[in-house]
Amino acid sequence: MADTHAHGHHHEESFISKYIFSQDHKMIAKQFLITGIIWGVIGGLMSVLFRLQLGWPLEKFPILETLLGHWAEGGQIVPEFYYALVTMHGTILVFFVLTAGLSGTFANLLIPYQIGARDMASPLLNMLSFWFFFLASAIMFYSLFLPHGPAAGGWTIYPPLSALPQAIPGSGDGMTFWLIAMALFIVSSLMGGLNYVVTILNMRTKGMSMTRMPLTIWAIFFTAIIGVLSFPALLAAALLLIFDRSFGTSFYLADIFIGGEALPQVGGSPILFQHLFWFLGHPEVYIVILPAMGIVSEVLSTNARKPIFGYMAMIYSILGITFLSFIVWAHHMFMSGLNPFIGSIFMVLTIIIAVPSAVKVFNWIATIWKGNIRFTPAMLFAIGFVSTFIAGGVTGIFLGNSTIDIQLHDTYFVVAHFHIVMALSAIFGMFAGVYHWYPKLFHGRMMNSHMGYLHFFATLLTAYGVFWPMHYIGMAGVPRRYYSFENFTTFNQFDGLNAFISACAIIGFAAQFIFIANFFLSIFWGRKSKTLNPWNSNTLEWTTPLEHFHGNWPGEIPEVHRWAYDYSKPGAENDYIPQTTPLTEEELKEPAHH
Amino acid sequence: MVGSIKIEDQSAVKKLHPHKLMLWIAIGSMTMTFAALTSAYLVKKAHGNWMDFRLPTEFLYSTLVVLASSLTMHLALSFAKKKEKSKYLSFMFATIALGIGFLMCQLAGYKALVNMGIYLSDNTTASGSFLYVISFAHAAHLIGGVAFLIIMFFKGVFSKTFFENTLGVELTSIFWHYVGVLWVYLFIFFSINY
Amino acid sequence: MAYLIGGIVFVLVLVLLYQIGTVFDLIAINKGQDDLYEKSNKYNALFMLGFMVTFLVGIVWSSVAYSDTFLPESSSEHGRLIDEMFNITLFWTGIIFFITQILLFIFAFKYRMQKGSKRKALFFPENDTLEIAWTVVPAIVLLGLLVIGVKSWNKVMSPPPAGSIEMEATAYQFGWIFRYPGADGKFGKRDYKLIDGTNSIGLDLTDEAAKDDIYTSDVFLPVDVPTLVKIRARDVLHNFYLPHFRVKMDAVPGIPTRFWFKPDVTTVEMRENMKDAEFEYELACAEMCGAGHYNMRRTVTIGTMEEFEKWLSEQVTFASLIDPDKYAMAESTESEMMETEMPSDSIMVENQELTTDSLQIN
Repeated sequence: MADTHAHGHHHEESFISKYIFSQDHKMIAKQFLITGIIWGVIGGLMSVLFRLQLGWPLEKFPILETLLGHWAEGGQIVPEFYYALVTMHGTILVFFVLTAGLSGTFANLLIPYQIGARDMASPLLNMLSFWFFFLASAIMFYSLFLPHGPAAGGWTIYPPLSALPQAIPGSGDGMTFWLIAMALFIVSSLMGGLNYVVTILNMRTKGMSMTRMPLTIWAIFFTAIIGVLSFPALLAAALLLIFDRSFGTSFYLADIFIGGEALPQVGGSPILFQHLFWFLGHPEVYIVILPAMGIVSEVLSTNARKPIFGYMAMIYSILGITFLSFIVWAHHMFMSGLNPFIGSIFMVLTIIIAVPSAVKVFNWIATIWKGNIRFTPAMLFAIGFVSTFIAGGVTGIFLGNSTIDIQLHDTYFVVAHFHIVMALSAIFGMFAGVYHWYPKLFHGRMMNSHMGYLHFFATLLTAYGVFWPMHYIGMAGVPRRYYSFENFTTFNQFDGLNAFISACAIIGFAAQFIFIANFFLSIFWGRKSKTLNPWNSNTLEWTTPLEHFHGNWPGEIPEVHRWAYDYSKPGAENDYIPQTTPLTEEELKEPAHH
Repeated sequence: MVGSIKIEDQSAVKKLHPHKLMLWIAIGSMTMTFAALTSAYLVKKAHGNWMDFRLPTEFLYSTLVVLASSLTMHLALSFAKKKEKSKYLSFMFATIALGIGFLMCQLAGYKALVNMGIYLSDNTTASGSFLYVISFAHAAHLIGGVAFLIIMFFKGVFSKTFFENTLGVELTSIFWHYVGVLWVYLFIFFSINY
Repeated sequence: MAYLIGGIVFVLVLVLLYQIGTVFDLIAINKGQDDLYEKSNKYNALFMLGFMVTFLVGIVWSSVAYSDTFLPESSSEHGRLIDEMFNITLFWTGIIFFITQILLFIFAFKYRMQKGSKRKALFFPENDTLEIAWTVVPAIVLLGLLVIGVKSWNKVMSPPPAGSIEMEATAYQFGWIFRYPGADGKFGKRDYKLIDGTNSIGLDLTDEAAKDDIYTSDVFLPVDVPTLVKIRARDVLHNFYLPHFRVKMDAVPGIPTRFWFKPDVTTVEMRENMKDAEFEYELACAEMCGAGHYNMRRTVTIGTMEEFEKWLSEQVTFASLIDPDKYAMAESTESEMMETEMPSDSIMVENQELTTDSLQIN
């Protein structure tokens, strides 16, 4: 082993190579995180804007006209802008915050740290991955200011709506920019994913067998595999869409009469796009949720001072979810005219996913049973995650059943379901991760705990306040993506509830600034942790020095002797045994868990 | 240099160099792109409104050319491993030439298609458009491969330590074979389906 | 200016909040503790418990309070199957939901780290019996739900029974055009290239079957008769959604779709049931289709067979709309024709209202 550590430490790094074009995984993690936070604020602000319209449809807000000009004439958002907002809110949150912001941050931070590597397999590719993401971000951000607005055909960009500027103004330049940005985003994701898989497979330190890896790494590993295998389908879908939009082909378009003229395209199939899109789109929700599951497993175990319950079962359930995630996509298309027989097959496969998910939930609950729980802000969010994952998971059993889906498809019930199970859970996982690994990100500084508690309870209450009532609205049959409900006597009876939801959304959004203030102020004012290992955790990252340098460990990379979950082991001196501690004589005689 | 950290051979699994593994996974990813495109083709064909036509023979020539280039690539790699510079360079040159020849054949193929009245922007059926788009996507990958070949060729000419470590050539060769195999698959796929 | 001041105050409040938090953090540390959690653990655990009570009580209360806003019992035969499936699923998932939420928060409260306590967590990394149990039990429950689900799905999606009547719904930005097959019981051919200002669905009048096809702007269906709805879209994706009948199916340009159902509660009966003399069944669009997506309302009336036949006889044919000179209207008077909304007009008006680029019909 070459003593490369000596180099890293003494390099005179220029500002640019240290902070901008850094190849250090820790810096790249920070870059992903901060870009993700900025996108989170933008995406959240969009939801506040369209919630204003939904909550108080008859009210005028002069400030909107000041800020948005012709998009909010007379202080009320126009329908075209409303649809642009929901489209961009979805795109930004799903891809830019919960894929890049979550996976990008924690995969980069944790993989080399927790498996004991000096950096990623290819630091250069890793840097490029961020900069492609940044470029995608810049283009997507620019598209918000186009004269005809950004893409407005829904984040699922179903053609023909997304293919025809005549159908909605956002499908002109806005859609072109969307496609370019997403192509770059896909490239970024693929570069990242390749790196994550290879690093995990090939660069683990001595003794770090696959079954000794923390569950965070397992989760990120499967996330990366899903990404590498499913994003290409979106690329293919987008490629054919680009040809339909710009070169007059007819992959998706057929028999269209719009804007007073009959288009020449015949023989295309919009359903083909939906198949290709959801072949990515469904795995994508697991790309979002799996890293959060990994983080939560780690945080729950550490702060309950108990080994994660059913480590192998956790791995098998992630494996099962990964496998199934590729063969359930058509459950988004039960009502698209799909052959009913195919529909029933997809119903069966979809419902099966509930089994590994249930196993995970029970294992998490068993993990805190008879634990010795410390409510750090990270732990609070991890418990919140389990709660939202259950609440959103059970409604998945309704929607996965194609019979019930006839009624619930594209109603607010769906909005409630996927926001609770995917958006809330993933963002809770992300918060848990940030609070937990903040000392590793910022040189041993801790985030302010009491502000963290406040942030958690404010978020939990308002989040359920926003999304729980949507079940009721959905059970009343109200369709989603409606600019206003006033025209329908069936749908217009929820003004009070919608105002309540909007109020919760605004308070919840404001509460996120508690986190943002905490995050940025703690960089400078945060309490310095007294030890290297503030949470008394077992994993390898807490053996690295506080000051970052490229290469992570000043000496040799420590050797690993046991799994990551020896908490409160009987006979041990402390209630934790770091992975670097060699096995004792007695332990060697035991059959499992090292 | 920040990027100067060597990748230590830390793993218990020492069989595969990380970059090679990465390439293999990338190949898996690229395969998924083409799997998606070709299954879209099949779905669309089953859906109807399809025009069958004979694949121009030019595409058969391009298949032969790409197979020949795989052979020259293989020889170039074996000479690189034996550190025989001039033989390496000549076979690399041949591979590059064959790669460009392949692209020429494809262009001739498109020309033949146009003469048959099959255009990219055919808005009555997607059957021709699929051939164009999928082969464009393949050509884009192949052009990337040619770029790597050219880099490896000039590295062979100028770099003094080039033959110490043949990893670059190996990676290029794996990718080149993949692009070749990919085209053979696409050719068979199109031949069966038209 | 006011906004600027507001923004500054907001930032200052956050900084203040941070400082207060820091003081709390420091007080906890100064009491000789290494970490913060022992001090705050009790309160957080209590808050967790408080949240659980608020949450679960809130759920029960609100679902009772809002139950009268949910859709009334389905007005179609298959709809009751769907509702039943929903209720069965609600029952089983409800049990799982309450058990797991209660365990989660009770455990969080009960097993909090306590000051001065020497209690150690239980080293409990796995238990095969437990793990098998909570794999198998959910699997059995889900299997049960699946069996009922697949059965009802096949029933709902079965081919329409003999004696069904047919109608066709064509969706466009932003409205619907309905067609009944007329006396011959057959729909005439249509070709989208024939669509123009008067021929709203591109009906091919050279086809004999097309000549008696009837145009309507709203839906009327006979009670207790199975109806097959053929669904088409003229421009982008739409969805034919009848909430009260649990009917939903995408309208896809180029690919006709269909859905059959048997309405069995008339509009008049429904008005009595709902105690609402104004009640109308409504048709909505449930697939995002553009800026006017929320505006595609049509009414659906269910009446007796006699009422239906009478209503149908009062409607105009497409042929008379497309070529009034050649296809004089036998059944309808001049004045009735004036009242009927011309489909071409509706296209123009709504397009101009709803999109920025004004679209003109040639």
